Amino acid sequence: MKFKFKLSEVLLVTGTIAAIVLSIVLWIFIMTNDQRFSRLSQTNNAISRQQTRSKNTKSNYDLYIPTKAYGFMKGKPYSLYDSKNNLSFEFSNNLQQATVKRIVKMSGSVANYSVLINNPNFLQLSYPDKVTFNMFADFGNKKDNREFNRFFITSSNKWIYVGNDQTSALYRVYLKNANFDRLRRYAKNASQKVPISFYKISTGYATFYTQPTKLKVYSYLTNRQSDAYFVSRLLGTSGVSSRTNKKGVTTYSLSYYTRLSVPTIRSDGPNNYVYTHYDKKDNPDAEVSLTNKLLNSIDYVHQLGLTEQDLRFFDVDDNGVSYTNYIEGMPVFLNQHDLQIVVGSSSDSATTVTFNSLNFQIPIPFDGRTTTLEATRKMLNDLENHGMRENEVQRIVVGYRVEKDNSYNNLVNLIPTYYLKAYGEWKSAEEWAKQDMNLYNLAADRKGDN
Amino acid sequence: MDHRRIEWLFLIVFVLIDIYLAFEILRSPVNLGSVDTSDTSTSSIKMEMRADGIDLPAKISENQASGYYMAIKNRDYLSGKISDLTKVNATYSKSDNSITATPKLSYLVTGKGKAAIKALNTFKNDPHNVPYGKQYVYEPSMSGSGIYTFVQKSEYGKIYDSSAQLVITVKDKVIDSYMLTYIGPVSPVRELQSTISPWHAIKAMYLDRELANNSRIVRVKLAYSKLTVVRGSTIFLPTWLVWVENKTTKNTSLKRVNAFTSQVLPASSTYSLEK
Repeated sequence: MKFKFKLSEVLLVTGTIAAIVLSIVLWIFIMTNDQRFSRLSQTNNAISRQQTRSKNTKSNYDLYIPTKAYGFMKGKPYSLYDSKNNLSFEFSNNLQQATVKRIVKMSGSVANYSVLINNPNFLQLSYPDKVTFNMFADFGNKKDNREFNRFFITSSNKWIYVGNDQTSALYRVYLKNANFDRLRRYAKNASQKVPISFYKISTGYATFYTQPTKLKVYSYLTNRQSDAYFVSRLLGTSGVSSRTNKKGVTTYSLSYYTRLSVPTIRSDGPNNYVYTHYDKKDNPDAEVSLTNKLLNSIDYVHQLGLTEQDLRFFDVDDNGVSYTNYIEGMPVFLNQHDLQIVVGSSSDSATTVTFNSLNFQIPIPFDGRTTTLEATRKMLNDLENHGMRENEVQRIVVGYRVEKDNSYNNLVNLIPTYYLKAYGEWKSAEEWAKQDMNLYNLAADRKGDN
Repeated sequence: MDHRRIEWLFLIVFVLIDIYLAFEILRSPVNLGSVDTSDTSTSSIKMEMRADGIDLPAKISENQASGYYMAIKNRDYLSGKISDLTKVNATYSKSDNSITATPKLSYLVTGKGKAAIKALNTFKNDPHNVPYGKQYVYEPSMSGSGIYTFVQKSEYGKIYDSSAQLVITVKDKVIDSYMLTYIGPVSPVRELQSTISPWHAIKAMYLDRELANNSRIVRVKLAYSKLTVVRGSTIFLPTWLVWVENKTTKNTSLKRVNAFTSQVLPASSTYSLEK
């Protein structure tokens, strides 16, 4: 009896002490956890920002969708397009259903890669520029920076090849639950098949039209969001001050760190908005991985609140990540050679987003107007004769030039035109032909010397 | 004994404090970074909607769908068909490009629900009764007692517009008359593209204050709606049709959300449903 009494006494004392100690520990934990407090002030803000953002947000697979599809007929490569059975869209949907089991690096060489790219057994889908595996899913390894830009669809649904045009790196990706049968059928019956050839340039492969090619001119009704829309989206509604300078630019500032420059002269000029945002980086000198660079840029794209229906990833280089509208499989260049959104990055922790508010609102039924582009080789030869160095050509694409239609106020026509990225700049072939190439070559030589 | 009672009191009080503190810690997310913000925003919007008395269907998909911009040539498809309509007395109205007709013989529509629809389908599928009749399908949510609405379907999806409808009026179990509008074949203007999800559409409506408090979302459906007329063509685009019922008046209204841009289309039509 006595023993029992003592045990319960001891249990009571230890229990009480344990409860007191635990309460102190928990209390200290709460007090030292500053996220608890920061959450109090952030919650509303974060959610409302999330809400405004998510209104226009679609899946990353919409922004990052392969833009070109290629197939082979009688051993010759063709660029494939079908507006009814959108090949890229079909592929992207297939890919989202699948899971990656394993990625194996193949031993690759430039020679092997160029054989593969011309192998008639594969259907190809390509991005305009390189992306990373980690962009789409977390493959465990944070430092994984494997880059690619081209898919090779084999006759098997178990695996595909994924390749990097620039480095000739090749990966075999084993998939589960993938089914590309319908994609292969669509590709076989694609409504538009244009003969092309793959041509190696300094940064990868360009697609050349082997003969003069007739392309459709599309028309769109366009509109623009008001300046106030962008100001309130990017800077909020309170505490914003504005100042107009002589060059016709109004700058709205929220603080020293965040501001938006808006063009006030509408009729001429590039009509570009510039949003600058300073953000303290933990380690400003550290090089940002391509994955993070791309993912960060997506945040900014969503924040702008432009219509994202046709917006696609287009280009990435040291200057930043660019997005532009793709219409019927081809990119749209605004003004002379501008892209819809360029999310720039620089070393001083500032992010500068340059964007155009033009929105392709309503597509107009095709009225039969076409334009003919000369063979790509011929165009490039002319530019080389003008002084352009072939090893400075980074990309060659057929895009649209925006031309105002005089019949309606907001109607624009999209004229297929050759665009080249050379010496780090995008310009149409016509513009390049007017440049003094000596200046460019001189600058390139100087850069090479350094 | 007193000493022991105090000890018990201490134990109980501190255990209660512990429970409270533990509850506090569990309630607050410890790591903000790993919280999936889209989930929190989804659930918080759902909670806000519940607080405003807005009822959602049990299951709303968060999966995206796909659709086209479509165009039709504005043409008169109907006036030439009048002579074929031998079993009805039909008149063509040029102003609204429609046919109004009454059957020469009386067509009995007996029963309710499926049986009635079957009888109406037999009637409309006869080209001597209704031109292009096979291209129309019954739409219950736009029909009321004695009024049966059919919408024009295309190979790309159903079209919900007053210019592509067949409305059959039944009186005393007999087909009284019908009114038909027809827009002809549709063709895609641009490539197939992804649309927003149904949940996204409802969320956009809520954030745009297009959902009144104390209402119930009956149904959400992807269909084509008229956007505008340009260069002699009418442009249609995929829209999420959202049927919203006012809980007090029981009136159902149809709202349309642009499935590409998530903007709410201004036009909305109200159908009074009797139950």
